[in-house]
Amino acid sequence: MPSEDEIEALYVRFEAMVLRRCRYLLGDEEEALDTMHEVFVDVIEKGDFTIHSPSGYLFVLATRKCLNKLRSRRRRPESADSELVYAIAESSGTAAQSAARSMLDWLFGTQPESSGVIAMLYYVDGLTHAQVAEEVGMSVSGVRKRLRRMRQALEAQGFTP
Amino acid sequence: MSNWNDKDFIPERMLERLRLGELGDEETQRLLDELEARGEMHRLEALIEEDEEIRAHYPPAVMASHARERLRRRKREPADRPGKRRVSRRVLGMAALVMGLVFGAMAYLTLPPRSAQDAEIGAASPVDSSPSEPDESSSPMPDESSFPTEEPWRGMLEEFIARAGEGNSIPIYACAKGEVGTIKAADIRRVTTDASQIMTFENDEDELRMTCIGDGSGIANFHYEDEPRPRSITVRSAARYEDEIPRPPCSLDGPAEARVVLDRQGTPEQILVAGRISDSATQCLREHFEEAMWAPSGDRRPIWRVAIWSQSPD
Repeated sequence: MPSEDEIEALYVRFEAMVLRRCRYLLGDEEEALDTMHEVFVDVIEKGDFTIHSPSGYLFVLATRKCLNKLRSRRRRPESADSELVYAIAESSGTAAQSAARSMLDWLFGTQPESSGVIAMLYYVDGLTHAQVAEEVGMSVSGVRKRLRRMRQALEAQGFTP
Repeated sequence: MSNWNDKDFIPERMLERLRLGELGDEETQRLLDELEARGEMHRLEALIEEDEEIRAHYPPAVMASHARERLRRRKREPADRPGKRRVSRRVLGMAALVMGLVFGAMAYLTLPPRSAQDAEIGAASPVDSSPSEPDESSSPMPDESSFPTEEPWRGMLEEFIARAGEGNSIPIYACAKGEVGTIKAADIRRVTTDASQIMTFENDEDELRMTCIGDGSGIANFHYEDEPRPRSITVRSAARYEDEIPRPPCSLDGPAEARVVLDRQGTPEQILVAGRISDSATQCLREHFEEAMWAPSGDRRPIWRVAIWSQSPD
């Protein structure tokens, strides 16, 4: 387990970024704070502080956790932005995610990042394909492929990215 | 933040990376130039400002302490346990229901029919319709909303804890946010009327170390009882602050009292000295406590708050 200093240093450096992300996606201070802690505790538990890009890792992890929380919410958000986020959350939790998992991923036991996170980074956060690929540690073509599938899922919900 | 693929837009994420210094020199300069050209430097400034606000409102030291607490709870309760327990309870419940139905049916079929008198007696039998007595062993945890949750790190142990002796058991509350505090007083309905927030620091697996303030007492070790409720802390040992922080070598110049507030961040700005003392003594205290916060071993001392002492004229 990392030392107390390491944990504190992690918060000093990334707390604001993670909380901001959770606030934006969840729109609820308490839930955002709770999710932020979940993110950090996951990282601390894993104990791997040698991640190449800790901020990218934390950012993606926070996004994934928030999407999971949104998916389990019953009430729909009100703003247009939130509706898109919510649609991505819904789509990433169902067929879109499982369809996106390739046989190779399955064979090698790798856990590809969810299509929802990729869609969030691309459609909502406005990152380019290359930037998304960098954040999630995938190839650009892999990101494109995921987005194509996600686009179909979103269109089925009435969104036309 | 949303912008349906308007790639002409500088994403917030890139600003975050810029702020964190994760971009290379070239990319950093390019992005700064871009922001300048677009007249969007205010976005970066706002980000920096918000960072400071968040850190002030949710101090990293406090947040880290909460995270460790969560981690400890998580280790204590493996993720698969609740699920298994739920399933087994459900199965047991179903089994009990089925057994109840079977035995009920058997009894109905095998027992002789009750007489009319029996039936009357049965009808007249007193039925205890009074509400059950409150379960004294149930949690006395009061309504959590009644506790102050603003600025938890401002909460002090105050002299309440400092007066607690070894072996004393002190009831505490724990909020969903992970804050804990002592219950100082409760009314007859067990609603807390006075509470004080505290901050805990992990000492080892079972020990939590808390700071406290009082007439000379500085640090005490507590054992944190999570189960069964009521939660409480038992004072294992009370220590004087000299055990943790060397007594300052500063001269207070005659009758004086100094109050030093330490923050775990350990920066000079966060070491506040107040009291009837001279400027030179204030400076001396600041320097002393700054050093004390950062032990030569590199470990932070588990001190985060207040020490009070006074010096009488010789």
